[in-house]
Amino acid sequence: MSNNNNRNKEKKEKKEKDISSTSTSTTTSKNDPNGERLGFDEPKSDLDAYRLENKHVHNVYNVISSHFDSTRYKAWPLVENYLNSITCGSIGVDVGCGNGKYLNVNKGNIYTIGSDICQSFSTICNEKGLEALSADGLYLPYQTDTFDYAISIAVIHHFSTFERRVEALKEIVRVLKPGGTFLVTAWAMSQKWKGKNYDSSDVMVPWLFQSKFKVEEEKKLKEKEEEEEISKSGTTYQQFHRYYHLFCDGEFESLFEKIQNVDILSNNLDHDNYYCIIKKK
Amino acid sequence: MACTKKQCVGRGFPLKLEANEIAQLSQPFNYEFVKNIFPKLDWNGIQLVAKQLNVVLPEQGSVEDEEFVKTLFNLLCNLKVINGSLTCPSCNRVYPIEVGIPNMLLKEEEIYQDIQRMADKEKEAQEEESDEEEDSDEEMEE
Ligand SMILES: [Zn+2]
Repeated sequence: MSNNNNRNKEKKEKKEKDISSTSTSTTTSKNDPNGERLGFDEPKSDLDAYRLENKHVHNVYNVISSHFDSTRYKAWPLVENYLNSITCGSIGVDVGCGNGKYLNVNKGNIYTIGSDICQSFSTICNEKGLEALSADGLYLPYQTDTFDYAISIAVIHHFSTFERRVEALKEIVRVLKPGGTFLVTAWAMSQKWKGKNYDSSDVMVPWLFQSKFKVEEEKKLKEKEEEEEISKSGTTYQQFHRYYHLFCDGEFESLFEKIQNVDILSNNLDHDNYYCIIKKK
Repeated sequence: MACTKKQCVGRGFPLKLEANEIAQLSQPFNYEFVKNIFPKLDWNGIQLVAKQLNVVLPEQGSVEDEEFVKTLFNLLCNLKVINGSLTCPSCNRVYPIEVGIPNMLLKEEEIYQDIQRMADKEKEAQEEESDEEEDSDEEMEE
Protein backbone atom coordinates (compact mmCIF):
# COMPACT_ATOMS: atom_id res chain seq x y z
CA MET A 1 0.00 0.00 0.00
CA SER A 2 2.66 2.52 1.00
CA ASN A 3 4.53 1.58 -2.12
CA ASN A 4 1.52 2.52 -4.10
CA ASN A 5 1.14 5.87 -2.42
CA ASN A 6 4.76 6.71 -3.02
CA ARG A 7 4.39 5.91 -6.62
CA ASN A 8 1.37 8.16 -6.97
CA LYS A 9 3.10 10.93 -5.12
CA GLU A 10 6.11 10.70 -7.37
CA LYS A 11 3.88 10.96 -10.35
CA LYS A 12 2.10 14.02 -9.05
CA GLU A 13 5.40 15.65 -8.27
CA LYS A 14 6.56 15.17 -11.78
CA LYS A 15 3.60 17.19 -13.01
CA GLU A 16 4.33 15.76 -16.33
CA LYS A 17 1.68 16.66 -18.82
CA ASP A 18 -0.27 13.65 -19.87
CA ILE A 19 -0.70 14.36 -23.50
CA SER A 20 -3.07 11.62 -24.35
CA SER A 21 -5.72 9.72 -22.58
CA THR A 22 -5.24 6.20 -23.84
CA SER A 23 -2.82 3.60 -22.71
CA THR A 24 -0.62 3.54 -25.75
CA SER A 25 -1.48 6.55 -27.76
CA THR A 26 0.49 9.16 -25.93
CA THR A 27 3.73 10.80 -26.62
CA THR A 28 3.95 10.16 -30.30
CA SER A 29 4.52 13.79 -31.03
CA LYS A 30 7.30 13.88 -28.46
CA ASN A 31 8.45 10.48 -29.54
CA ASP A 32 8.45 11.05 -33.23
CA PRO A 33 10.98 13.76 -33.93
CA ASN A 34 11.39 13.28 -37.61
CA GLY A 35 8.39 11.22 -38.52
CA GLU A 36 10.62 8.43 -39.74
CA ARG A 37 8.99 5.31 -41.05
CA LEU A 38 10.44 1.89 -40.85
CA GLY A 39 9.51 -0.46 -43.63
CA PHE A 40 8.50 -4.01 -42.85
CA ASP A 41 7.31 -7.08 -44.65
CA GLU A 42 3.66 -7.95 -44.64
CA PRO A 43 3.31 -11.24 -42.72
CA LYS A 44 2.66 -14.11 -45.13
CA SER A 45 1.65 -16.67 -42.55
CA ASP A 46 0.32 -16.72 -39.02
CA LEU A 47 3.79 -17.68 -37.81
CA ASP A 48 5.25 -14.63 -39.61
CA ALA A 49 2.64 -12.46 -37.93
CA TYR A 50 3.41 -13.98 -34.56
CA ARG A 51 7.11 -13.27 -35.04
CA LEU A 52 6.50 -9.70 -36.20
CA GLU A 53 4.38 -9.02 -33.12
CA ASN A 54 6.97 -10.67 -30.93
CA LYS A 55 9.74 -8.48 -32.24
CA HIS A 56 7.90 -5.20 -32.71
CA VAL A 57 5.38 -5.34 -29.90
CA HIS A 58 6.17 -7.78 -27.10
CA ASN A 59 9.93 -7.41 -27.00
CA VAL A 60 9.75 -3.63 -27.29
CA TYR A 61 7.26 -3.32 -24.43
CA ASN A 62 9.32 -5.73 -22.36
CA VAL A 63 12.14 -3.21 -22.58
CA ILE A 64 10.28 0.09 -22.38
CA SER A 65 7.68 -1.01 -19.81
CA SER A 66 9.02 1.00 -16.87
CA HIS A 67 9.48 4.11 -19.01
CA PHE A 68 5.97 3.52 -20.38
CA ASP A 69 4.64 3.10 -16.85
CA SER A 70 6.08 6.47 -15.83
CA THR A 71 4.19 8.25 -18.61
CA ARG A 72 0.88 6.35 -18.64
CA TYR A 73 -1.00 6.74 -15.44
CA LYS A 74 -4.02 8.80 -16.30
CA ALA A 75 -7.08 6.68 -16.87
CA TRP A 76 -9.15 7.37 -19.94
CA PRO A 77 -12.53 8.68 -18.63
CA LEU A 78 -14.41 6.59 -21.16
CA VAL A 79 -12.92 3.38 -19.75
CA GLU A 80 -13.34 4.60 -16.19
CA ASN A 81 -17.02 5.34 -16.75
CA TYR A 82 -17.55 1.92 -18.27
CA LEU A 83 -15.92 0.17 -15.31
CA ASN A 84 -17.79 2.33 -12.79
CA SER A 85 -21.07 1.29 -14.39
CA ILE A 86 -20.46 -2.43 -13.73
CA THR A 87 -22.53 -4.00 -10.91
CA CYS A 88 -20.93 -4.86 -7.57
CA GLY A 89 -19.68 -8.43 -7.29
CA SER A 90 -18.84 -8.70 -10.99
CA ILE A 91 -15.66 -10.35 -12.21
CA GLY A 92 -13.97 -9.29 -15.39
CA VAL A 93 -10.79 -9.34 -17.42
CA ASP A 94 -8.50 -6.69 -18.82
CA VAL A 95 -6.76 -8.31 -21.78
CA GLY A 96 -3.46 -6.57 -22.49
CA CYS A 97 -3.58 -4.67 -19.21
CA GLY A 98 -0.20 -2.95 -19.64
CA ASN A 99 0.82 -1.14 -16.46
CA GLY A 100 -2.54 -1.97 -14.90
CA LYS A 101 -4.03 1.49 -14.67
CA TYR A 102 -7.58 0.14 -15.08
CA LEU A 103 -7.27 -2.80 -12.67
CA ASN A 104 -7.97 -0.56 -9.69
CA VAL A 105 -11.01 1.25 -11.09
CA ASN A 106 -14.16 0.58 -9.00
CA LYS A 107 -11.99 -1.50 -6.70
CA GLY A 108 -13.73 -3.37 -3.92
CA ASN A 109 -16.93 -3.59 -5.94
CA ILE A 110 -15.70 -5.33 -9.02
CA TYR A 111 -12.73 -7.59 -9.53
CA THR A 112 -10.69 -7.15 -12.69
CA ILE A 113 -8.04 -9.71 -13.54
CA GLY A 114 -5.37 -8.37 -15.85
CA SER A 115 -3.23 -10.23 -18.30
CA ASP A 116 -0.49 -9.19 -20.64
CA ILE A 117 1.79 -11.06 -23.00
CA CYS A 118 4.68 -8.85 -21.83
CA GLN A 119 5.93 -10.30 -18.60
CA SER A 120 7.49 -7.04 -17.53
CA PHE A 121 3.98 -5.53 -17.46
CA SER A 122 2.55 -8.32 -15.30
CA THR A 123 5.53 -7.76 -13.00
CA ILE A 124 4.83 -4.00 -12.77
CA CYS A 125 1.16 -4.73 -11.96
CA ASN A 126 2.08 -7.20 -9.25
CA GLU A 127 4.49 -4.75 -7.68
CA LYS A 128 1.56 -2.34 -7.41
CA GLY A 129 -0.51 -5.04 -5.71
CA LEU A 130 -2.73 -5.56 -8.74
CA GLU A 131 -3.83 -8.96 -10.00
CA ALA A 132 -2.22 -9.76 -13.34
CA LEU A 133 -0.86 -12.79 -15.06
CA SER A 134 1.18 -13.44 -18.17
CA ALA A 135 -0.94 -14.71 -21.02
CA ASP A 136 -1.30 -14.44 -24.77
CA GLY A 137 -4.54 -12.68 -25.78
CA LEU A 138 -5.16 -15.42 -28.35
CA TYR A 139 -4.90 -18.13 -25.67
CA LEU A 140 -6.61 -16.89 -22.54
CA PRO A 141 -6.30 -19.18 -19.52
CA TYR A 142 -9.99 -18.97 -18.61
CA GLN A 143 -13.01 -21.15 -19.09
CA THR A 144 -15.68 -20.34 -21.65
CA ASP A 145 -18.65 -18.19 -20.42
CA THR A 146 -16.92 -17.04 -17.22
CA PHE A 147 -16.77 -13.25 -16.95
CA ASP A 148 -19.36 -10.52 -16.50
CA TYR A 149 -17.34 -7.91 -18.39
CA ALA A 150 -14.11 -7.44 -20.30
CA ILE A 151 -11.94 -4.59 -21.51
CA SER A 152 -9.10 -4.52 -23.99
CA ILE A 153 -7.72 -1.03 -24.33
CA ALA A 154 -5.37 -0.10 -27.15
CA VAL A 155 -4.32 -3.71 -27.70
CA ILE A 156 -6.15 -5.06 -30.74
CA HIS A 157 -4.19 -2.72 -33.04
CA HIS A 158 -1.00 -4.62 -32.19
CA PHE A 159 -2.22 -7.78 -33.96
CA SER A 160 -0.83 -7.78 -37.47
CA THR A 161 -3.40 -9.63 -39.58
CA PHE A 162 -7.17 -9.40 -39.96
CA GLU A 163 -7.52 -13.07 -38.96
CA ARG A 164 -5.53 -12.57 -35.77
CA ARG A 165 -7.61 -9.51 -34.85
CA VAL A 166 -10.77 -11.57 -35.32
CA GLU A 167 -9.29 -14.44 -33.27
CA ALA A 168 -8.27 -12.05 -30.49
CA LEU A 169 -11.79 -10.60 -30.25
CA LYS A 170 -13.31 -14.08 -30.47
CA GLU A 171 -11.16 -15.30 -27.60
CA ILE A 172 -12.37 -12.48 -25.33
CA VAL A 173 -15.98 -13.09 -26.37
CA ARG A 174 -15.46 -16.79 -25.60
CA VAL A 175 -14.60 -16.16 -21.94
CA LEU A 176 -17.45 -13.67 -21.53
CA LYS A 177 -20.78 -14.86 -20.11
CA PRO A 178 -23.82 -14.57 -22.35
CA GLY A 179 -25.20 -11.12 -21.56
CA GLY A 180 -21.75 -9.87 -20.59
CA THR A 181 -20.33 -6.72 -22.17
CA PHE A 182 -16.91 -5.91 -23.56
CA LEU A 183 -15.24 -2.56 -24.25
CA VAL A 184 -12.52 -2.59 -26.90
CA THR A 185 -10.54 0.36 -28.28
CA ALA A 186 -8.02 0.85 -31.08
CA TRP A 187 -6.02 3.68 -32.60
CA ALA A 188 -7.65 5.38 -35.54
CA MET A 189 -5.86 5.98 -38.79
CA SER A 190 -6.96 9.57 -38.93
CA GLN A 191 -5.54 11.27 -35.87
CA LYS A 192 -7.13 14.67 -36.11
CA TRP A 193 -7.07 15.29 -32.40
CA LYS A 194 -3.34 14.85 -32.19
CA GLY A 195 -2.89 16.61 -35.51
CA LYS A 196 -1.15 13.65 -37.07
CA ASN A 197 -1.84 11.76 -40.19
CA TYR A 198 -0.70 8.33 -41.15
CA ASP A 199 -0.57 7.42 -44.80
CA SER A 200 -0.87 3.69 -44.27
CA SER A 201 -2.89 1.50 -41.95
CA ASP A 202 0.10 -0.63 -40.94
CA VAL A 203 2.81 1.49 -39.39
CA MET A 204 5.85 1.39 -37.17
CA VAL A 205 5.63 4.02 -34.49
CA PRO A 206 8.91 5.01 -32.86
CA TRP A 207 9.40 5.13 -29.12
CA LEU A 208 12.29 7.11 -27.75
CA PHE A 209 13.58 5.17 -24.84
CA GLN A 210 15.32 7.06 -22.09
CA SER A 211 18.38 5.16 -20.98
CA LYS A 212 17.67 5.82 -17.31
CA PHE A 213 14.96 3.17 -17.44
CA LYS A 214 17.41 0.61 -18.70
CA VAL A 215 17.06 -2.84 -17.21
CA GLU A 216 18.84 -6.13 -17.63
CA GLU A 217 16.30 -7.40 -20.12
CA GLU A 218 17.12 -4.63 -22.50
CA LYS A 219 20.69 -5.82 -22.98
CA LYS A 220 19.40 -9.10 -24.30
CA LEU A 221 17.28 -7.30 -26.83
CA LYS A 222 20.06 -5.02 -27.88
CA GLU A 223 21.99 -7.96 -29.20
CA LYS A 224 19.35 -8.96 -31.67
CA GLU A 225 17.42 -5.82 -32.55
CA GLU A 226 18.33 -2.90 -34.67
CA GLU A 227 17.96 0.41 -32.92
CA GLU A 228 19.37 3.87 -33.17
CA GLU A 229 20.63 6.26 -30.57
CA ILE A 230 19.29 9.77 -30.73
CA SER A 231 20.41 12.76 -28.75
CA LYS A 232 17.85 15.39 -27.94
CA SER A 233 18.34 18.32 -25.57
CA GLY A 234 21.19 16.59 -23.80
CA THR A 235 19.39 13.31 -23.16
CA THR A 236 20.31 10.18 -24.99
CA TYR A 237 17.46 8.15 -26.30
CA GLN A 238 17.26 4.82 -28.00
CA GLN A 239 14.70 4.47 -30.67
CA PHE A 240 12.45 1.42 -30.83
CA HIS A 241 9.68 0.75 -33.28
CA ARG A 242 6.29 -0.53 -32.29
CA TYR A 243 3.97 -2.09 -34.83
CA TYR A 244 0.43 -0.68 -35.13
CA HIS A 245 -2.45 -1.53 -37.37
CA LEU A 246 -4.50 1.66 -37.47
CA PHE A 247 -8.27 1.31 -37.64
CA CYS A 248 -10.56 2.82 -40.26
CA ASP A 249 -14.23 3.69 -40.13
CA GLY A 250 -16.30 0.51 -40.07
CA GLU A 251 -13.38 -1.70 -39.21
CA PHE A 252 -14.74 -2.90 -35.87
CA GLU A 253 -18.00 -3.77 -37.66
CA SER A 254 -16.18 -5.91 -40.22
CA LEU A 255 -14.27 -7.73 -37.46
CA PHE A 256 -17.36 -8.39 -35.36
CA GLU A 257 -19.21 -9.52 -38.47
CA LYS A 258 -17.03 -12.64 -38.28
CA ILE A 259 -18.20 -13.33 -34.75
CA GLN A 260 -21.70 -14.70 -34.55
CA ASN A 261 -22.81 -14.33 -30.96
CA VAL A 262 -22.38 -10.59 -30.42
CA ASP A 263 -24.34 -7.37 -30.76
CA ILE A 264 -22.58 -4.04 -31.13
CA LEU A 265 -24.04 -1.67 -28.53
CA SER A 266 -22.00 1.37 -29.48
CA ASN A 267 -19.14 2.25 -31.76
CA ASN A 268 -17.59 5.70 -31.86
CA LEU A 269 -14.49 7.79 -32.19
CA ASP A 270 -13.02 9.50 -29.14
CA HIS A 271 -9.65 11.25 -29.04
CA ASP A 272 -8.37 9.47 -32.14
CA ASN A 273 -9.43 6.08 -30.85
CA TYR A 274 -12.27 3.91 -32.00
CA TYR A 275 -14.11 2.39 -29.09
CA CYS A 276 -16.70 -0.26 -29.35
CA ILE A 277 -18.95 -1.84 -26.72
CA ILE A 278 -20.41 -5.22 -27.55
CA LYS A 279 -22.70 -7.63 -25.78
CA LYS A 280 -22.48 -11.41 -25.98
CA LYS A 281 -25.76 -13.05 -26.96
CA MET B 1 -8.01 -20.72 -14.53
CA ALA B 2 -7.94 -23.13 -17.43
CA CYS B 3 -5.37 -24.57 -19.81
CA THR B 4 -4.53 -22.24 -22.72
CA LYS B 5 -4.11 -24.98 -25.29
CA LYS B 6 -6.89 -24.99 -27.86
CA GLN B 7 -7.17 -28.77 -27.65
CA CYS B 8 -7.95 -28.38 -23.93
CA VAL B 9 -10.75 -25.79 -24.21
CA GLY B 10 -13.65 -27.26 -22.23
CA ARG B 11 -11.42 -29.97 -20.72
CA GLY B 12 -8.34 -28.35 -19.23
CA PHE B 13 -10.13 -27.23 -16.09
CA PRO B 14 -9.66 -26.74 -13.23
CA LEU B 15 -5.90 -26.47 -13.24
CA LYS B 16 -4.38 -28.29 -10.30
CA LEU B 17 -2.78 -25.77 -8.00
CA GLU B 18 0.41 -26.49 -6.13
CA ALA B 19 1.51 -23.80 -3.68
CA ASN B 20 5.03 -23.58 -2.27
CA GLU B 21 4.83 -20.07 -0.93
CA ILE B 22 1.71 -18.11 0.01
CA ALA B 23 1.34 -14.45 0.95
CA GLN B 24 -1.38 -13.03 3.18
CA LEU B 25 -2.73 -9.73 1.86
CA SER B 26 -4.95 -7.28 3.72
CA GLN B 27 -7.68 -6.03 1.39
CA PRO B 28 -10.57 -4.48 3.30
CA PHE B 29 -13.55 -6.80 3.75
CA ASN B 30 -16.53 -6.17 1.47
CA TYR B 31 -19.70 -8.13 2.32
CA GLU B 32 -21.63 -6.97 -0.74
CA PHE B 33 -18.88 -8.25 -3.02
CA VAL B 34 -18.84 -11.76 -1.51
CA LYS B 35 -22.64 -11.93 -1.45
CA ASN B 36 -22.86 -11.12 -5.16
CA ILE B 37 -19.95 -13.24 -6.24
CA PHE B 38 -20.95 -16.31 -4.22
CA PRO B 39 -23.64 -17.68 -6.57
CA LYS B 40 -21.29 -17.34 -9.53
CA LEU B 41 -18.45 -19.34 -8.05
CA ASP B 42 -17.45 -22.74 -9.29
CA TRP B 43 -17.83 -24.38 -5.91
CA ASN B 44 -15.85 -27.53 -6.73
CA GLY B 45 -12.94 -25.45 -7.99
CA ILE B 46 -13.05 -23.29 -4.88
CA GLN B 47 -13.01 -26.37 -2.63
CA LEU B 48 -9.94 -27.72 -4.42
CA VAL B 49 -8.07 -24.42 -4.13
CA ALA B 50 -9.07 -24.12 -0.45
CA LYS B 51 -7.60 -27.54 0.25
CA GLN B 52 -4.33 -26.59 -1.44
CA LEU B 53 -4.10 -23.40 0.62
CA ASN B 54 -5.10 -25.13 3.88
CA VAL B 55 -8.30 -23.14 4.25
CA VAL B 56 -11.17 -25.03 5.88
CA LEU B 57 -14.48 -24.44 4.14
CA PRO B 58 -17.79 -26.12 5.04
CA GLU B 59 -19.36 -28.48 2.52
CA GLN B 60 -22.09 -25.95 1.82
CA GLY B 61 -21.81 -22.28 2.67
CA SER B 62 -24.37 -19.57 3.19
CA VAL B 63 -23.96 -15.82 2.80
CA GLU B 64 -25.90 -15.43 6.07
CA ASP B 65 -23.04 -17.09 7.94
CA GLU B 66 -20.67 -14.26 8.85
CA GLU B 67 -17.70 -16.44 9.59
CA PHE B 68 -18.07 -18.32 6.32
CA VAL B 69 -18.30 -15.08 4.33
CA LYS B 70 -15.13 -13.80 5.97
CA THR B 71 -13.28 -17.05 5.28
CA LEU B 72 -14.39 -16.99 1.68
CA PHE B 73 -13.35 -13.36 1.24
CA ASN B 74 -9.96 -14.16 2.68
CA LEU B 75 -9.57 -17.08 0.30
CA LEU B 76 -10.67 -15.09 -2.75
CA CYS B 77 -8.99 -11.76 -2.12
CA ASN B 78 -6.29 -12.10 0.49
CA LEU B 79 -4.38 -15.27 -0.25
CA LYS B 80 -1.88 -15.05 -3.03
CA VAL B 81 0.32 -17.86 -4.24
CA ILE B 82 3.82 -16.42 -4.60
CA ASN B 83 5.51 -19.56 -5.78
CA GLY B 84 3.96 -22.71 -7.15
CA SER B 85 2.46 -24.19 -10.26
CA LEU B 86 -0.75 -24.95 -12.14
CA THR B 87 -1.12 -28.24 -13.97
CA CYS B 88 -3.62 -29.05 -16.70
CA PRO B 89 -5.70 -32.15 -15.89
CA SER B 90 -6.07 -32.89 -19.60
CA CYS B 91 -2.61 -32.47 -21.16
CA ASN B 92 -0.47 -32.19 -17.99
CA ARG B 93 1.14 -28.94 -19.15
CA VAL B 94 2.68 -27.27 -16.08
CA TYR B 95 2.36 -23.50 -15.78
CA PRO B 96 4.76 -22.00 -13.24
CA ILE B 97 3.82 -19.31 -10.70
CA GLU B 98 6.80 -17.12 -9.89
CA VAL B 99 6.93 -13.94 -7.78
CA GLY B 100 3.16 -14.15 -7.58
CA ILE B 101 2.60 -14.23 -11.35
CA PRO B 102 1.18 -17.27 -13.14
CA ASN B 103 2.99 -17.64 -16.44
CA MET B 104 0.36 -18.92 -18.87
CA LEU B 105 2.38 -18.21 -22.02
CA LEU B 106 2.89 -20.98 -24.55
CA LYS B 107 6.15 -21.28 -26.43
CA GLU B 108 6.18 -20.65 -30.16
CA GLU B 109 6.73 -24.37 -30.84
CA GLU B 110 3.76 -25.32 -28.66
CA ILE B 111 1.42 -22.92 -30.47
CA TYR B 112 2.41 -23.96 -33.96
CA GLN B 113 2.68 -27.67 -33.19
CA ASP B 114 -0.86 -27.54 -31.87
CA ILE B 115 -2.16 -25.67 -34.89
CA GLN B 116 -0.50 -28.22 -37.20
CA ARG B 117 -1.80 -31.12 -35.15
CA MET B 118 -5.38 -29.82 -35.23
CA ALA B 119 -5.19 -29.22 -38.98
CA ASP B 120 -3.91 -32.77 -39.45
CA LYS B 121 -6.72 -34.15 -37.34
CA GLU B 122 -9.31 -32.27 -39.35
CA LYS B 123 -7.81 -33.56 -42.57
CA GLU B 124 -7.78 -37.09 -41.20
CA ALA B 125 -11.42 -36.81 -40.20
CA GLN B 126 -12.36 -35.61 -43.66
CA GLU B 127 -10.44 -38.39 -45.30
CA GLU B 128 -12.05 -40.94 -43.06
CA GLU B 129 -15.48 -39.64 -43.98
CA SER B 130 -14.82 -39.98 -47.67
CA ASP B 131 -13.21 -43.33 -47.10
CA GLU B 132 -15.81 -46.09 -47.19
CA GLU B 133 -13.37 -48.86 -46.40
CA GLU B 134 -12.93 -50.04 -42.87
CA ASP B 135 -9.36 -51.24 -42.93
CA SER B 136 -7.55 -48.03 -41.95
CA ASP B 137 -8.93 -47.81 -38.48
CA GLU B 138 -5.86 -47.01 -36.44
CA GLU B 139 -6.63 -44.30 -33.96
CA MET B 140 -3.75 -42.51 -32.38
CA GLU B 141 -3.95 -41.20 -28.84
CA GLU B 142 -2.09 -37.95 -28.57
ZN1 LIG C 1 -4.06 -28.67 -21.33
